Amino acid sequence: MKTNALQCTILIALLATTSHVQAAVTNEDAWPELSLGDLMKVGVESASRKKQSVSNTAAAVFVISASDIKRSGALTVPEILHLAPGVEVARLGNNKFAVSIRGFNGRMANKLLVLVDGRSIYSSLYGGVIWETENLPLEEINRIEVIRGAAGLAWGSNAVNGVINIITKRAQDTTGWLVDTHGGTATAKAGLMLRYGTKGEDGSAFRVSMNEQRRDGGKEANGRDAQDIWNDRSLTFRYDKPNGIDTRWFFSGRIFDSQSDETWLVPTLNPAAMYNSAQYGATRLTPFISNRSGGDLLGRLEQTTDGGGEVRVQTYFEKFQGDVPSASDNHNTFDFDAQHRFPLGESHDIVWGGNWRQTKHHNAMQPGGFLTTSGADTTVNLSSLFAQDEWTLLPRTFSLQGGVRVERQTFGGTSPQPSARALWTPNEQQSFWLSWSKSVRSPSVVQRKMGAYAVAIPASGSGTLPVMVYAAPPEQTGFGNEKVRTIELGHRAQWTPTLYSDLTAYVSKYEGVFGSRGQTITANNSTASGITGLPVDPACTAEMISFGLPNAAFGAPGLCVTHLYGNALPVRTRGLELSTEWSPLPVWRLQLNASHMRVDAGENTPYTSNTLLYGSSPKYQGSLRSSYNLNADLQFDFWLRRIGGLEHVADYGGASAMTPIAARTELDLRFAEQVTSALELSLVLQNLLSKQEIQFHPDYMPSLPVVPQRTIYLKALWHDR
Amino acid sequence: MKSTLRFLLASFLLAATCVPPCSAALSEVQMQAAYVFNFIKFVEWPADTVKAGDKIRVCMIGDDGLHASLSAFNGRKAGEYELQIMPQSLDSDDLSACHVLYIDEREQRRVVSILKSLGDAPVLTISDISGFAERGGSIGLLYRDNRMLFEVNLAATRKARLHLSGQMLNLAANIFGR
Repeated sequence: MKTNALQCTILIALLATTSHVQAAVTNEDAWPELSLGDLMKVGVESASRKKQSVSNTAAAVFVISASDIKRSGALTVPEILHLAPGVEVARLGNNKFAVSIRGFNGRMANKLLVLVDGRSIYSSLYGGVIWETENLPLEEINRIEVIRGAAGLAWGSNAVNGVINIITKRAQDTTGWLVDTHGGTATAKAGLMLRYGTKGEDGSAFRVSMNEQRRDGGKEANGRDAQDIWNDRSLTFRYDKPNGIDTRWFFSGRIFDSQSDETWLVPTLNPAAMYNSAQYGATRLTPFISNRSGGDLLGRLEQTTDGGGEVRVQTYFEKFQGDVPSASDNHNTFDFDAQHRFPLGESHDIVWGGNWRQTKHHNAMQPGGFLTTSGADTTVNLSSLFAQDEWTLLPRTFSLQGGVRVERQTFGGTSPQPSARALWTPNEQQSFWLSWSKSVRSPSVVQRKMGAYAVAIPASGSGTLPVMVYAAPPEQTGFGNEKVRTIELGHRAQWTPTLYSDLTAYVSKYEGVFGSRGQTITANNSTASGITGLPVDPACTAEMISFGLPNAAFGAPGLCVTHLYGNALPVRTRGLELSTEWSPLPVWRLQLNASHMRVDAGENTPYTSNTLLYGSSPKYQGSLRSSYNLNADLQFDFWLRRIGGLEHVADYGGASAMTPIAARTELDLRFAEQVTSALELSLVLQNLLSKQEIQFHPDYMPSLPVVPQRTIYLKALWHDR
Repeated sequence: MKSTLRFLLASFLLAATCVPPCSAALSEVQMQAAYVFNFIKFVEWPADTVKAGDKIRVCMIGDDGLHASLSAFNGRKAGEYELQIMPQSLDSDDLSACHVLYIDEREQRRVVSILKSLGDAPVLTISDISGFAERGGSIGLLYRDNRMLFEVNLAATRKARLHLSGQMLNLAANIFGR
């Protein structure tokens, strides 16, 4: 009996100390005792995860991880890009974005190359990204690499200001069922993503996802509800098959369909048709729902060679059709890409390869509409060869990199894009890099063959004549490549295990930037000619009638201005970009980004696009993001952004168009709780400090300016494991 | 006697169960080092290279922080083998003389040539470089949410004549090259 009582006492004492014993097993000093099974359950302190993949790159790279994407609360790719320093993102409405890096922003911003798993998603129609159709499910993104600066050597033309490389998760990492659904106001009205993934015995894996999103409701600057819907749906799949040791196959495909509002302000000379001339000048409202649909299929083979090299061969096919007021685009793209990387001797690492892409466009324009084309069918061919060497002079300390890509494009001809870089890593905590590169941007179909009736100026009370302004297809001036030379200097440092900084400074010189090369003015009939002394062009009368002035048929006088655009402007930009990360506590991560840029585009004259260049990008941007884990299941995140104002004014006249855009502050909040091991609920508030002002004036595509709204939504993420 | 045994068993079981919260977080290098130590317990090297009680040479390329964490295991026993943590490898070293080789993410550009240079030497290669196991590494470490898991390439371990126990394969997130 005594023995039993003794045993009981000891047992109770043990029980009382059990939690302490467990604490001893899982505390800081006992980690070497953890078993394999235990290690798989223990979390990794996010603060200790090193900034690895970019620490030895001689370029300005910022990596947005899947965790960053999730905790930002963003629902579209353009919003997520705002996580990187130096990326300019503005919303022109619910469904329209202007995204660029280091200047030249606009809905049709064309200096940025964007890829999804190696497939280029910029449209060869105008060289920009149609963000409304690129709505891949965010849960599938593994990371986004944002590379700022001229990257033509590695990536080809259109990468003059940067590359955004979106990489999706392997199918092996997305097995089981996943449901991602949200509901709320405005841009977060409703969304549902369903995904199923499965693994094979041979190590291969396959997944398929269905994504449907609905968004609503911006308002005009005067508070009126604007037609601003955006609905889209897509079906995507991915198949990864590793084979033995040396071979990996990868296939992906997608079909999508989207409807988005495209209410445009089209020029008119008819006072009765004008919508709100005080705000928007001589324009009429054309309500329009743009339908876009298409699909793509991509296949890739990666193979390691006995010499320690790697070969990668990839091909994709893409089909697209979409329309905007008075014009439609239907195109097919075929792309083939091959690369070989191999070590040469002890200190050289060589990559060389080639790419061939062909896109066939068919553009149908409405007769008498305000967009014209000089030919309905266009084939754009792009082919290139490149070679690059990385020479390691001092292992892990100093290396040089250099190479050239020679590219040939239908409109731009043949052009070399060389680059040279140096990387110095004095110790494990710091690195310095320097780069010089020359890149080229080749003209898009719109910039060669399309013209637009841009502005209508009605007759004024003081006796001036009505005027129609037409921007002629730039092929008339032989518009060719825009060129840029960039010098960059960068520094990265892991100051302490919890403090990291990355600073880049750059100067870029552009030549031949798209701009006005002059204009011709004609009179429509002898009356007008008599008043102004300008030559007569009878076609001007037809234009007047077409844009709301029927009296022109009976002799009413008017003038027509034809702008000629082409390679016009030298532009210089310089700036600084900084990103820092600090973890004051293991459960708290802070990210501070800032950037500053100056644009110098020469003198401002009435007939150049200088205001577009000067005013389209803010001089400064900053953001502070905080990710705080209250406990293992509860997260609180906030994201504060400050974006400088824009001087750019819109083309179409009217008070709204002439008002520069004030600097703005944006704040997003997110609360998330892991309710069960499979279900996470989150509440997100976006754009809390919105002052109900527009963020960007529409360029080239004159959509009705819409003010982005404050949004609140609730999201549920469920997955089985 | 029986009741004493039962009592001891009960106490042992109590001590062995993981009372929540077990999800105390480790730093990245501690995780990686702990994984390396555990993998060695479940791997058998070919009899003609290592016998029970021999020293297992653990080499690594690329990171001071990880080397410091791995050094905590120097001289310890993992299963039947005694660990010998080697100084950080230089490019001129003969890596096929190692039994275990950890390649840091920093070396991702050279990873394929390192793997090829090992030939079919019995080296257990471990790394957190993405796609490491698919490209011929033995064990790849990967993140899922904020946890670290591992995947295995059996074609690579077969080539190196290494044998991984079934217990370990059951815990692997992915298995390639079956």
